[in-house]
Amino acid sequence: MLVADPTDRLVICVEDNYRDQQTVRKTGLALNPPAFLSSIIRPGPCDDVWFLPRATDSLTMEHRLLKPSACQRLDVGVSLAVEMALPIGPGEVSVDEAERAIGWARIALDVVRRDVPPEQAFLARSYPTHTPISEHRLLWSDMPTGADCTLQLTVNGRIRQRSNLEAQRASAATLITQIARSIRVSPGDLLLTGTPHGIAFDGGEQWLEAGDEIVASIDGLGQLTIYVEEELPK
Amino acid sequence: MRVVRFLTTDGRPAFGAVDDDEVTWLPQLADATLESFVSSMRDDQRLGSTDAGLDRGVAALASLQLLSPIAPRQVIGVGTNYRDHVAEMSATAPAVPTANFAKLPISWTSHGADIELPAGAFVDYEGEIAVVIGRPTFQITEAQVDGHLAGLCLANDVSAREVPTTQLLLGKSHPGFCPLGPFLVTPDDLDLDDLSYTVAVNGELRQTATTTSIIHSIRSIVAGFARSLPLHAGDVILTGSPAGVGVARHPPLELHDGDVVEITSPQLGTLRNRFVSASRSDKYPTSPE
Repeated sequence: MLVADPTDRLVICVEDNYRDQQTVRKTGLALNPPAFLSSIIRPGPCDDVWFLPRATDSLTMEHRLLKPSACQRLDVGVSLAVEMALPIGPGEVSVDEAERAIGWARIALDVVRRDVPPEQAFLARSYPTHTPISEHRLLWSDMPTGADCTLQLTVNGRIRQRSNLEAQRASAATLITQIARSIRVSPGDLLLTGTPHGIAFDGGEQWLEAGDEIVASIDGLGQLTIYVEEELPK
Repeated sequence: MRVVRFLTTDGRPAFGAVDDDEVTWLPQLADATLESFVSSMRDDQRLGSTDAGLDRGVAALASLQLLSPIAPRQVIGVGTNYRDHVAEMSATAPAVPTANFAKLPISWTSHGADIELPAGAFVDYEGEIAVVIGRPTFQITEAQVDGHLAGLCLANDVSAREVPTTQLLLGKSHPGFCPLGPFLVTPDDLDLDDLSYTVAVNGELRQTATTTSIIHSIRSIVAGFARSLPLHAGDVILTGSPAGVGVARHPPLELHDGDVVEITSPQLGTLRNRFVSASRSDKYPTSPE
C-alpha cells in the first residue's frame, strides 16, 4: 500500500517520453541553456525527456479527481507507473541493475492544470488527487513489454489515447538509470513513465469537466476508473 | 524568536529557543511540533516557567549538534528572482512569482554537515532565503501570509550544473543539496522586505543580496504559489539567489573538495557547510534522523 508520509516516497513523472509527444516543448518551456553551460552539461541516456516532480499530496487511490473551481483547463493522460522494490543510486547504474530494482507496475493518471503557466511545472502537477494510481499492482517481471503492452485512455467512453510501450523513447529502466545518476531511489518511490499523444493539450479533445468518467487501461494491469468532481471554492 | 532543532543527549530531535549563545528548551515537549513549541515558549516567557508548568532545559548553543530547523515536506524553488542573477544566467525576469523547480525532500541537510560532491559533477552554490510554511495555506492574500509562516532561515540551493536543463529536478536533489539553517526566525522578529545576506566560499565574497531588490516579494511568492497549490506546515519555499554563482563566472568556478560555503545574514545567522569529495564522505551524510 501507499504510505501517507510524503517524506517516505518520491513521485517523479516524465514528459515527452512517447515519440509522438512533444507536450513540454509545445508549451514553450524549452530551457535553452546559456552558452557557458553547454560545455559543462554531461549528456545522459534520455536528455530529450523532462523529469518533473509531483507532490506526494497529489497521490490518491480514491476513484475521484478534484477539479479546482478556478481551473477551466484540466488535462489528463494515462501513464505506466513503476514502483521501486530495491534502493539504487546515486551513481552510474546499468539498465539491468535498474530493471532489477523495479518491483511493480501500476496504472497512473498524469493530471495537469493547464491554467497554471508551464514554467510552474510543480504547481501544475501537484494538486491533491491529481496523481490517481491503481490499487492493483503487478510484478514488474510479469508485465508485458513493448508492443505487447497497450495503454488506453477514454473519457466518457471516447478513446483519447491508445499507444504501447514500444513508442516510448526511454524504457522505465533507462529512465531510472538517469535518475539514479543524481539521487538515491528507494523502495516505494514512484516513477510515471510518460503519457502518449492524445491529451487535451494536443488539441481536438475537451478539458475535463465535473461528471466526466475517465477509464485508463494498461495490458496486464486492467482498468482504473476515475470520476471528476468539482471542488467548491473554500 | 530564533528556533533551533538539535539532538538531545538521548539522541532525539528537539526544538530550542536561542538567546545569544544559550538555548532554552522544554524537555516535556521534546516531541512537540514546531508550532506547539513556539506557542509553549511564548507562554513560558510570558508567564515564567513555574506558572506555565513546564521545566526548562538550558544548554550552550556551541555544545549542541544542530539539525536542519525543519525536515521539509517539500521544497519549491523560485529560480529567478534577482535581476542581476537573471542577467548572468541569460534568463528572463518572470512576470509573476514562478516555481521554476523543486528539490526532492531527500536533499535537505543541516548547518555544519559535510556535503558530498558527486563524482564527475560540477557543483555550484546559490545562497537563498528559505520560507517555511507553518500551517495550511491556500488562496490567501499577501496581507495574510505572515500568519501562515513558521519562519525563515538561510538555504544553499546546491546545484549540479552538468545535469541537462530538462532534468533540473535531478541536478538539485542529490543528498545534501539543500542545507537549511542554522535556525528558524519567526516572522514577527523580521522585516521580510529588508533582509540581507552574503555568500562566501573559503572566505571570498561571491554573492550579496537584499530583499529590498528582489523582483517578487516573499509575501507575493507565498500568496502566488498558494493560489494554485495548497501548502502545508513544513513546506519550504526557496526565494531565489542573486548574481555571483560559480557557473556564470569567467571562467566558471565549481566547488572542490574541502571548500567551505558560508551564507551570512544579520537577521538569519550563518549557514556553513563544507563540501567533500565522494571518496572522503560518509555515503549518506544527510537526514540525521
